[in-house]
Amino acid sequence: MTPVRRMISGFAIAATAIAAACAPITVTSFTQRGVDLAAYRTFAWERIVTNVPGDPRLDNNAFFHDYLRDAVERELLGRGYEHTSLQPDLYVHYHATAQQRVLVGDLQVGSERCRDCAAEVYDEGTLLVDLTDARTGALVWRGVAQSGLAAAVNNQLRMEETIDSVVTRIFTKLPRRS
Amino acid sequence: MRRLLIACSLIGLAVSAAGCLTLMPVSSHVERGLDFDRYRTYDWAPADALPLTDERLRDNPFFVDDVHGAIDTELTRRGLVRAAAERADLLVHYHAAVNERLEVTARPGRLRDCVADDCRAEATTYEAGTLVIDLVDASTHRLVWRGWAEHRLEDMLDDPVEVKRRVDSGVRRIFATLPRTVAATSRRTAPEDLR
Repeated sequence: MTPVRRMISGFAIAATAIAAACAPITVTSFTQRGVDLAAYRTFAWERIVTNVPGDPRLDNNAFFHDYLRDAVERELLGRGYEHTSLQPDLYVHYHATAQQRVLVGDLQVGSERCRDCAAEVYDEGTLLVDLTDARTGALVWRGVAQSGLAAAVNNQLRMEETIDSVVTRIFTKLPRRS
Repeated sequence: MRRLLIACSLIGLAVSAAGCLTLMPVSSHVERGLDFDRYRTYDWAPADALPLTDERLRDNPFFVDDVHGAIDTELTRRGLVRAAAERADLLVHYHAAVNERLEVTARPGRLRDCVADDCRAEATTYEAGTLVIDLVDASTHRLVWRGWAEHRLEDMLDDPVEVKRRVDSGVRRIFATLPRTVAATSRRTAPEDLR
């Protein structure tokens, strides 16, 4: 065991354990100022880097990447965008990473007593989906989701359900084409 | 809400406790519609740029021999015969990585209700090894199965006998998750083995 030791200040509460067992999906998105996403109609895939820093189980894992790619494509099509291999308006790209998080729940500032305390380490996956203007190369939209990962990867069905859920949530942030 | 928190806490603690044990999580992903019985021969795929990410593994010829030997044994046990690459039905590829992992240890008795220093939890790091085995259909070049095992390394890399024992055990358990057939429409996946 590496002899590095760090002390984490206490007051970690039950919410910490939730991280491993019931980690929620958090989603954010960014749209470039002044960009009218409705002006874009077609998309194509940019070359995807299939390594997943932080999780060797997903590195170059075709089951993960194919399912993820299909889910992203399904959402884009569902929002009125059209897939093309010739002169697209948008390029689509994603990037997945994994890292450990330490959650030390609800710090009770000013109190030395802690009830239902716990501290927890869990694996968190981050998925970025980028849409870039094919003509200028400028990033016009980015969707980001973070979710608990460990249990999802070790079970293929759960992984697929997690991908479906995460990708659906990400794309709710993208305006639907009329 | 409090009951939900408690339930989630117990699940979380169970997951945490499982992670603290020196057991080997093993699992796999598999292609839907896989009929493993149609594969008769295999060969080793050309190594990728960095099959062994840790120099202690790269510099250890016993480790490579152990992994090759264990995989050969399991494939032979499933009726496959080694063949020249151009005649092989399956190509085998493996990857071993070592990552530093963090864990939090706390005394359960202190988790429920504590005061001041008793509330402190200690975080330590350890090295986790992950062995990933890929089976690729030689005719389509598609990945048809990926299995993996994770294990705490501790000091085992200094002990060739222990390395071989762990590799043999890990590879055997990885291949135990390989189904002979998977329905094309099945949502059921290869069994997850967390023993």
